Amino acid sequence: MKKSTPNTLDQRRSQWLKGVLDLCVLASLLDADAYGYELAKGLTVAGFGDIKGGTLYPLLNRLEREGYVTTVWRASADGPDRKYYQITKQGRSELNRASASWNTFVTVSKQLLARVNQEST
Amino acid sequence: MNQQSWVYLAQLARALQQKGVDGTRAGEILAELDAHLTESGADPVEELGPPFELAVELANRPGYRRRGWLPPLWLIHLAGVLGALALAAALEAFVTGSDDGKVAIKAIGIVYVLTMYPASVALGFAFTRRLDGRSWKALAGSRAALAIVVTAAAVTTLSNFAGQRVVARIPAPVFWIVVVVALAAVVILLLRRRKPIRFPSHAVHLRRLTRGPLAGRVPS
Repeated sequence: MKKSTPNTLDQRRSQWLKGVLDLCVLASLLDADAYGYELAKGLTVAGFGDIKGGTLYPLLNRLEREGYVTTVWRASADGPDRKYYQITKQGRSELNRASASWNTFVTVSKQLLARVNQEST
Repeated sequence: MNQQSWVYLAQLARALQQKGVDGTRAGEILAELDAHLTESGADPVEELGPPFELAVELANRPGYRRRGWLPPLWLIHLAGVLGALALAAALEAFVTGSDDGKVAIKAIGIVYVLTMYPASVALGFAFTRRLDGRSWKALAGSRAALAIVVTAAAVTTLSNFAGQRVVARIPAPVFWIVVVVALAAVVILLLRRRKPIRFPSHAVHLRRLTRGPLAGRVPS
């Protein structure tokens, strides 16, 4: 199958998101447990744009299977019970490891891309 | 939950079963998405994508499929055709009786079974679709309708050629064994394929998602 280069900014953004969304989800869980819709809203507020449930739930299920999060059902005052996600010790250490690596990656990219700004000004 | 979400979850439930997702996992997923759709009020397809694609996505994750062998659909239908063929011939022999203890397989019987079987599968498929909330009008242009029309044409044409010609004569006991084995195989294979979805205790009301005639209707 032919792999095409992304030709819109939206496509680029969604490719970047694929690489880092799981880390952002884990980071969102550092302070408090959260359920799916809450996480989606939080990521949108943080500036990621609209995160669809169709992206989020398969991701959450993968994190659960890998043992990075555990889940617990809690009742809700208005509506069906919610499935809360809780980061595990394993999840924290993976987050530490991977976010360090991601930060290096971002720094390298920034250094290279900084030349673009200098040239255009 | 609104009608749209209910229909979506009913379709997803069926898709998860078809893809062989473990029953407990499927129940959890459906309950979780029920909560999500209720709270967000979002359009289910826009929010979660087409139900079948979501089911594929979830089923392809290791650890999500039920362990063990999942019979492919063609095998179930093969057993179905075989069972129907044998049953038709055996019933005819039972009604007319045979002097030599053999069951005659007539060409016309083969024609009937090979055409009627796909048509009844298509009809069953159309019926479950109808119960998913689609209109009869939409079904009229569907593949199911086409299958039934083609069948009707095939039966009329082929039965002229086939006639009452006897293709084979097979000892009755052998025949009944084939009937029993083939029909048992259909039942066993279908049971293997369709494991019930187990919902978490707080979401047992969602059970109605998977109960045939009610799928596609919001519980009042």
